[in-house]
Amino acid sequence: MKLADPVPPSLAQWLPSDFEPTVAVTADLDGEGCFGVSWVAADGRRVLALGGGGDRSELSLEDVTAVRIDELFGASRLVAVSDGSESVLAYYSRNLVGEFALFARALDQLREGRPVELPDEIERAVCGTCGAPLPERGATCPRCLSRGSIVRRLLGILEPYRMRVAALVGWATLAVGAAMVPPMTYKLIADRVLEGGQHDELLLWVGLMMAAFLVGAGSQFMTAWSNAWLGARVVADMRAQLHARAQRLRLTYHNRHESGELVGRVMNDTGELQHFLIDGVPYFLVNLLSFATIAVILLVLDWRLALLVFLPVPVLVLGGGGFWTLLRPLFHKHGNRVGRLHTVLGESIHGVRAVKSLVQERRREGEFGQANEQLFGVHVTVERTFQGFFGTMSFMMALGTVLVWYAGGRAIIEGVTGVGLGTLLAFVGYMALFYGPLQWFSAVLNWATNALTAAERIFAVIDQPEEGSPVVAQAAPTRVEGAIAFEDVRFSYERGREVIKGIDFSIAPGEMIGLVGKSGAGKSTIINLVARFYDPDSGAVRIDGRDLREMELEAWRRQVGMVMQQPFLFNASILENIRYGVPDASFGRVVAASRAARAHDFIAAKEDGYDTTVGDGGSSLSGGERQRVAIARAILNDPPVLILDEATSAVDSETEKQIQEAIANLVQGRTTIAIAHRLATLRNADRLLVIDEGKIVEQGTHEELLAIEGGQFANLVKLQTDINRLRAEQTAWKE
Amino acid sequence: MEGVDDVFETHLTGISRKGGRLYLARPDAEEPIVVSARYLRPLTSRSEIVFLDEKRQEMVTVRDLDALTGAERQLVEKALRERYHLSIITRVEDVDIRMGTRYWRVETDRGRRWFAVREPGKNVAWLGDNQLVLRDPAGNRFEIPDLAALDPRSRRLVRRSL
Repeated sequence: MKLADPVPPSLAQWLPSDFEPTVAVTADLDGEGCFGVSWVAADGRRVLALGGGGDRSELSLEDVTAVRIDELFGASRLVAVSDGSESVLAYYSRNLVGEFALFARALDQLREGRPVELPDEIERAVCGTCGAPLPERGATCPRCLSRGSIVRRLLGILEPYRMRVAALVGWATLAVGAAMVPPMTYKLIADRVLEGGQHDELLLWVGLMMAAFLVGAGSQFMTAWSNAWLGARVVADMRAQLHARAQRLRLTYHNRHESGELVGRVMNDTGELQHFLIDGVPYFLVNLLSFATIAVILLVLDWRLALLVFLPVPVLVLGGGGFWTLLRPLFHKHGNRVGRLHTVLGESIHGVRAVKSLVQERRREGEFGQANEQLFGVHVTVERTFQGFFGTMSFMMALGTVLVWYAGGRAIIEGVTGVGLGTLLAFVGYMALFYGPLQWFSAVLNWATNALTAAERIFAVIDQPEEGSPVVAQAAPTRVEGAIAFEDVRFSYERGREVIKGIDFSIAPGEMIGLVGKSGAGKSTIINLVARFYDPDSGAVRIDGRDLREMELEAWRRQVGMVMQQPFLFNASILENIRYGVPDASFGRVVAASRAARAHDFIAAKEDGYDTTVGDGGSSLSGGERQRVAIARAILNDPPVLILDEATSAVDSETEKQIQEAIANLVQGRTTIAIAHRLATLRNADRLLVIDEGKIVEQGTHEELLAIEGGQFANLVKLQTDINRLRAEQTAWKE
Repeated sequence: MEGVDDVFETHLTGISRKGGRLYLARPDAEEPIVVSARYLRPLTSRSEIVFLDEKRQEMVTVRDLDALTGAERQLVEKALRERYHLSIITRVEDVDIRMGTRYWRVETDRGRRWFAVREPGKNVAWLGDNQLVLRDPAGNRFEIPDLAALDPRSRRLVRRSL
């Protein structure tokens, strides 16, 4: 990527003529922290910062000893340290954290005399086209998104079902055609039978009326019938696509979005779309067709009366538009308040123990009551607005009817040519069909807006890149040897906040490595990189000498077994959970794995044995039991590489002993990376890596690290020993 | 709870600034140590100030700025001004809803800004009946300290949008 923002025109006059920047970035805050423009750039020799009003600072890169980013409250700043003093190069808002992190890295590279190498992509917080803030870094700009393209995509989804779509359109057209007939028969009966004396034609026209009603009812039924299938089919297809994509999204996406949001998209947004496709689209199409046809018929029957019918149309259309403008924020407000009520209710139910123990029932009642009343208030406003609108619209339509009866009646009395009782009756019949759909047009248009929004949100997920898009897709060997190497690996979950800061190590096949360090040191990130839940920002993770990014992701994951601190079990039987990764494993293999995992005894003792359902998330098992089921699952998978993340934390000593035995069976012959809170549990590791602030600070065997005077590991062990002694003393004292 | 107010210092000296950094001289340290000054409650009450060392360990916490005097107070005020960049909304020009995202055009004490807010339930924090903080997707924050003090149109736009 080229980070080379041109100098803003307002600052160009302060740019030295001999300065040709290698990297440059424009900041959105000035030196006082106000929104404005400043610019910071570097060539091979110096770094230059330009601010509004001619503020200019220039430092020789030779003098800069470090470049630092300070995370402030609501902003950040780039600081250059030189000769014991610090110079703030730029203040910038959170919109630019990614750009400035790269700029800082580029400055480091320039200082060290290396060529500037930056990642290819950067996710911007602002739309590059219209400058609008994006709803999410790197997202498609909703303001620039063409509605037409979404509609085309939705129509593309209908492509496999085009015959059914054609049938639907056919039935809908027939329904409109049939609805046009009865008012015409009113005219014929009045003009020809009642006034013209052709009494023998009565049965003919009544029969025609009856036939039209029958065809209309039948075709409407068929329209609904076809559409129910089609709408549900399209939505089911989208739901399946969405679910499949959600399974393959990068973990960074899941980190940024709550699970409820994705569930909402899979269920609510697709539901919204279905609602629109089934109830909205056909209604809209049929009514549009009917509206245009009736308008033509009315004009042909009598253009003067037709104009009277058209008189309330602008009021109805404009009123409808205004009504939805008024109602849209109310709907949003309603949605927010429903959400708030759900949150309060959810907290009250999930947190009932905490509420009771802190004796805060009344307070919760008050909070729920407030949220409930707020929802009540907006609900009443929405309903009243609705009723007020429809009342007004009904009156406007009635006004049209009154006008037609008056003008038509006068015309008949005065014998105006072309206006007879039949024409008047036909007009009255068509008017009901004409006005009825009119007020709904704007409603359906608004409906369409919501549905298109839902479609856009669904497409936004479907269009997310899949994880592990390989540099060069090559299948992993059937079974890897298990040599793992990290080469100058750097990684950040969020651009600008590096959590792994250049790590190098290698693990031989079959070796067991322990990762040690404080919370947040980067241990779990290292195992996430081994499992390839994420790719490094720079550097490489190699397996048997091959870059992990060159391996086919699924083939690699099959070779990695993971036992996590809180293993996830599916709401199925123990048997199904153990063989989740190898569904066709024989029962004998499952039992053998359970025995090795020290799980067989407790499973056998359960009433339903291996058929015991574990409950939601494994809730019917204890923590230790869940852990051993997970270990049995890992043993059955027989992976050459094993990751243990705090597998024995939060269990009692006896259970820990059993899990330790299970793990001892599990790690044999496998390359193992283990994180353990209790350092004593890593005694069997061949080597320990001590991680601090994203770097390896010590490595060696348990004994070697203990021998380092004042070393981090030695300190951590001492701390734990002291705590254990204190606990032992407390226990002895109690006894 | 007795003695609860004693947890904060009411008098502090030993603050200096050199090379853009704030230093605190402590009786138990030979050299002044580099510290950063932060509010304990930056959103709800800008009173108590904690001084953290480079390892982010608490060195001392004062009840408020009045614990400092003269030039030392000014140094801390400057450091706090440099750290805290919460924009205060003084006028709401427009709030536009597009595809579930609200686009706010506002005037703040630091200039005009256009920002987006998604999922108001998560990104709008009401700190009182009339005080609220909005957070945009990048993490920038905008405060309305007193909704009642805004002009009627701004108030209407806020009420309508939230």
